[in-house]
Amino acid sequence: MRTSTEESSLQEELSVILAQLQQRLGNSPDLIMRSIRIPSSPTTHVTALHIDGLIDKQMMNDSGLCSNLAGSGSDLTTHGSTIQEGVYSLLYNHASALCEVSTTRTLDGVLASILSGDTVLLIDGIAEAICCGTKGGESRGVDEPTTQVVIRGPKDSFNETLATNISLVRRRIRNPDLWLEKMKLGKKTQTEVAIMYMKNTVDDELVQEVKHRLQKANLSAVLESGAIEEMIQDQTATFFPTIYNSERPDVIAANLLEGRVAILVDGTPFALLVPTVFAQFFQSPDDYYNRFDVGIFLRMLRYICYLISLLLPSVYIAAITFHQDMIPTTLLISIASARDGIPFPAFIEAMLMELSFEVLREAGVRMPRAMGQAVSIVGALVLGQAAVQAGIVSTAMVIVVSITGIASFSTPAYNVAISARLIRLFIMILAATLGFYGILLGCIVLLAHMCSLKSFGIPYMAPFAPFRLFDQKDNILRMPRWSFIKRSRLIHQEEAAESWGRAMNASSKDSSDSKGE
Amino acid sequence: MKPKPILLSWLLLSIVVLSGCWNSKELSHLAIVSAIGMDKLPGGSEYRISFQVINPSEISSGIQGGGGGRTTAVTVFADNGSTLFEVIRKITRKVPRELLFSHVKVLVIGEALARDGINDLFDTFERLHQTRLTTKVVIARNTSAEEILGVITPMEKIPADAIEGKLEFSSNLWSENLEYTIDDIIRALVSKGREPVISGVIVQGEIERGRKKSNVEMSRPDALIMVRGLAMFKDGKMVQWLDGDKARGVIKLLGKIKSSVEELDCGSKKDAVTVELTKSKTRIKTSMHNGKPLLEISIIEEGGLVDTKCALDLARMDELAMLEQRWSKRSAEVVTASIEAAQKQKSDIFGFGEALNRTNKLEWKRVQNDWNTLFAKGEIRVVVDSYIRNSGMRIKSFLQQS
Amino acid sequence: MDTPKISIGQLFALIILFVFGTSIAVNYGLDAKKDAWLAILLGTFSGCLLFSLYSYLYRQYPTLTLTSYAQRIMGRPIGWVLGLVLVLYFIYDAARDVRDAGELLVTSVFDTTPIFVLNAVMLLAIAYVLYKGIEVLARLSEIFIVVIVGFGIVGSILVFASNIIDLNNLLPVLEFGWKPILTTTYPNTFIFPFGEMICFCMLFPHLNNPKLQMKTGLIAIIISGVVLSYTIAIDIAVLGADISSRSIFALLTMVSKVNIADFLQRLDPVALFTMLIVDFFKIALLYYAAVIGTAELFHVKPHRRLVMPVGAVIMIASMSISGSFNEHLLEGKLSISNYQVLVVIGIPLLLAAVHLIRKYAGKGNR
Repeated sequence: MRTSTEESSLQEELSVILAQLQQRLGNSPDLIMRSIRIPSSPTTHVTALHIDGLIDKQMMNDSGLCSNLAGSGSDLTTHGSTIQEGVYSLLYNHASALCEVSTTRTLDGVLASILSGDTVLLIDGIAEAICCGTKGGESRGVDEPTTQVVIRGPKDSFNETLATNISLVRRRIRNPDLWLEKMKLGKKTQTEVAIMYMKNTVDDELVQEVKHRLQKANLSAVLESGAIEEMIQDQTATFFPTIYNSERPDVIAANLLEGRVAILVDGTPFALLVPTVFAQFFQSPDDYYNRFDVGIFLRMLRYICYLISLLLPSVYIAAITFHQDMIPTTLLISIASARDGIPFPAFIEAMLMELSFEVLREAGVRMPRAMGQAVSIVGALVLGQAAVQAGIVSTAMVIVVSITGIASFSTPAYNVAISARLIRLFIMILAATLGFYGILLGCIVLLAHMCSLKSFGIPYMAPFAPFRLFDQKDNILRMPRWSFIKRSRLIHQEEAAESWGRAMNASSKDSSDSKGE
Repeated sequence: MKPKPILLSWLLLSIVVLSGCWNSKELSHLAIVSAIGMDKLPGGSEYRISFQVINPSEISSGIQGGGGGRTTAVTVFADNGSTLFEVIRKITRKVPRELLFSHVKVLVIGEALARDGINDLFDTFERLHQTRLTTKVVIARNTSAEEILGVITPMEKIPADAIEGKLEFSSNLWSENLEYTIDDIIRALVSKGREPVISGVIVQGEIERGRKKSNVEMSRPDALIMVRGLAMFKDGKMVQWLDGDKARGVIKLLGKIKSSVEELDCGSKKDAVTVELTKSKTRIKTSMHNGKPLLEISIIEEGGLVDTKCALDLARMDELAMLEQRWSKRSAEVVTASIEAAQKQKSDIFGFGEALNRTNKLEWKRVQNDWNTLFAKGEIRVVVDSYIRNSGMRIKSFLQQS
Repeated sequence: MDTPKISIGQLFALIILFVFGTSIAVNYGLDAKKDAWLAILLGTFSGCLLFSLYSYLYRQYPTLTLTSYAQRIMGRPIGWVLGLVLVLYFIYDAARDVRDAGELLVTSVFDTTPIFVLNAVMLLAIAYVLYKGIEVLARLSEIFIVVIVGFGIVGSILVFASNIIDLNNLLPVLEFGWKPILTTTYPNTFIFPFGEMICFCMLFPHLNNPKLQMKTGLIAIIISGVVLSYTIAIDIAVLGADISSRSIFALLTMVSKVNIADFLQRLDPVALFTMLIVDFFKIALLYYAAVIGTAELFHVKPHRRLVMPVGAVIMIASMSISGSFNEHLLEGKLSISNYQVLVVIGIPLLLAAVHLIRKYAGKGNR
């Protein structure tokens, strides 16, 4: 139980403190206490505390605090008025040569330090603890990214350690302008969260807004950046993600250079980027590492695929149940003959197929990796073939659903692709009731909805709507790099000129005039 | 304020869902009509209207395994009624599905009906949204439309496709007929300065046997549909068939010729030189002189020599020039013959009236009401420029060597 | 409260979409037969003059909407009544366009679907957009102008490529002289899209760059007028003046003639989409003008509370406006020449005149 008295300063007596600590941690066995003997003052009890597994053992042992202390045998009193103080300053000086050091005078401070991986030195008779930054311990190495794969480009990705992640970004932008702010979020988890931005490129209001929203986010636990994303996004009632996430340091670095703010969370490789526009989800780092013509082609392909994954089943339903006149005769005849004897109406058939496809996909993701293959073979080949041969679904529908499924995989961002899957079902209902008219109205309402979205004050559909000719160079198109040189018009900073332009640059202009909503 | 948009979208959704699907038609409940035939019932004002309906599983058999081979690729249903729409609805007593008209390729009109007048036929086609103006129109020559629709055709499984293909390629390569669609005919019917012409189709062989699937199971089918001739109309009524050169003259005058074959005399040998016409441009101009129209036609045509049966020295320019002259003369004759045939029937199928309107609209307003009689009196002036651009892969014929 | 802002580009897109609304779909100006395209050009020219009048009034009161400055100029009671007339006009006009869209759908595809449902769904979608605010509508226009231009370009290429254009159908020019052209232009092609632009007077105060309002508006009107004229000319060239003028939706009939290699054919849905999209924006703008006008006349705030009620009125009006489509079309012609002229030309002229008199009288007094 926390009471106000316990939060107060540390006791002087070492054993009391240790008892208190053990009691607070429930006599946890992973709390390691080491007694350090100071040769020049054998009567002074010093204890080093840390949690097993959270610290860098190398640091602790090799260059370590404990062993090296032994050798320092000079007159302790020269450092302070008492022996204890002498020990304290000796330890302090010694530790600060080895690692970052802070001090705390409260029990909670000690707890927070050891829980975040520090080693705390407690000296009997001194009511102040020395916290040595020995964070470390086991963590995953820097691996290849798994969700945002590129063919050409850096192969490193974030891991679960905040410090590593920050260093990965820092290594890419060696610039004093890259500013970093840290805060702790989550009442219970006390997760470290870092905000990164380019000081001279970013809009100061944006940084303020990010900080404000993060502080306002009243979270008890932050286990993944998704929790933060949900708390700081502009609008909840939408299918679309309004905050971009990435596990690629190069993507984060590029966006920082454009003036975005990155939010890195300890414990997850996925960093958040704000503000986000819709077009961002269709940009893959590959676009910039390949030639620009290839980049343009691939990007357009992705937009087309997104449209296909959104609309194809609906268009198919509408065409064969409402607008038979628009299908070329030969095609109509083959569809008609394929559908002869199918017991379900087209809409039901499409829904069945879509749902079973979703089931297959979900099962494929959740299955142990070794079995995933089997599921896809049974699902796709055996089941599909059998269903067609049994006359339950038509071949045309199988083709439509498969194309839709494949197209939905080509969106680089998973969270947008999954939104398309949900919206697709709604549009299918509209198509089944009102044909193309329903699809058209559905699309208009969908676009209106997207136009009304905002991400940290930036219209989500920028630079399509509001249209900005200047930003079209890197929107659907990816113009050659030299054409970005003139792009500093909206940002005003030299640095931005060479950065990869994205829609974001509208930020400074828009955040001011779009708060009226 | 917050929940209202959501409420609104739910309202939207529920209205849509509750509204059901009035216009939704499952493909398995539709019968795709590929051709419509219209005939006149002898005596009385009723029509006999036939529909050529596709059996889809017969066309693309093998997709689903079962199905194919049981029936013919199409089935013809026919019924009587006083309007097209009446029959469309009446026919449901015979057809187990709802007819779908948006894929009608060909409209066949029986000759008897054509002679009786086609003015009343097309209104429904314009009004219904399913029917299309791009449907091609042909006249069933010497037979009824229903018979034409019933013939099973080789190569194309759907007979309507077969008719369409024959129309298309013969008018592109042979040029004795036209691919005229419903709207072309309506425009000609409406215009005071032009009358329609429609291609004819006949059945060659035994119609009775043509209806069976066995017709396509032999290398020389018993019955074949063939495109032949142009029907000339006057005031919406068919008056005469034009065949051969006369038909080609009409096509040439209408400027619709794409490619054709022309035979020229070579010295004393008749039709000994064959020229492939590759390009032809026609300009017509009408003017009034002393109350009589002057019909001026200028044609520029180009082609290549493809066949000779006589010893022509094509290396000599004068031979070539002579050949060109002979071609021009022949073309002028053909064209004149066509116009004269039309003048005899007092039917301006070439649009000379419209040409007059284009150049002299005041004069046209004066004469438009008795244009057809004036046209019959019109003086013809034809100027043809022919050019032979090449002679294929050889210059001299091997005949010349021997 | 911040007012939402509309950029110049958005105004441009909105005007173009508005002018195309309905007019590109129906047999517009075809009373002038082969010379319909001339009648439209003439109407465009007159439309520019009318737009200048609206712009003049706007520049006198750059922060007010039409219904507000009507009261400022004419005094409270008369101005209020004029405002009411305008609002009723907006509602009536919106209802007409809703009906047009519904009838288009009924005659082209949805022959057994109740028109009530088609209209209601359309209005609900528009209501949703208006709920999100005029800014969203403006942004939407930027996206759809690209779609429409794309359709236009692709459609034109296909029509040209399928070799169905016969320019002889457009000849002779001025077959019946200037008279039918003038009677078609005044009032029909003049009022029909261009006079209706009076609803933009309710929108101008939101512009973020008032200086360019007039220039942008005129350029947009001219471009859209020329494109309209071009479209109708193609209709006639393909179908002939007779079929075009008899068909209710000439564009739809024209596009159905496209056929390239037997595969690119039956493009009616593209034409249908074009018509519906532009109609959507026209209705939305009139609807918005009606909502804003009502809100100002009856002091309702925020105006979005009126979206649903006004929508319901438009819905009912669209259903009860006439018994059949033929009656609807006839009524349209009659109302344009008898009443709409008074509203869209009469009221602004009156306002401008009174404003000028007041200005100079006021100077004299001083």
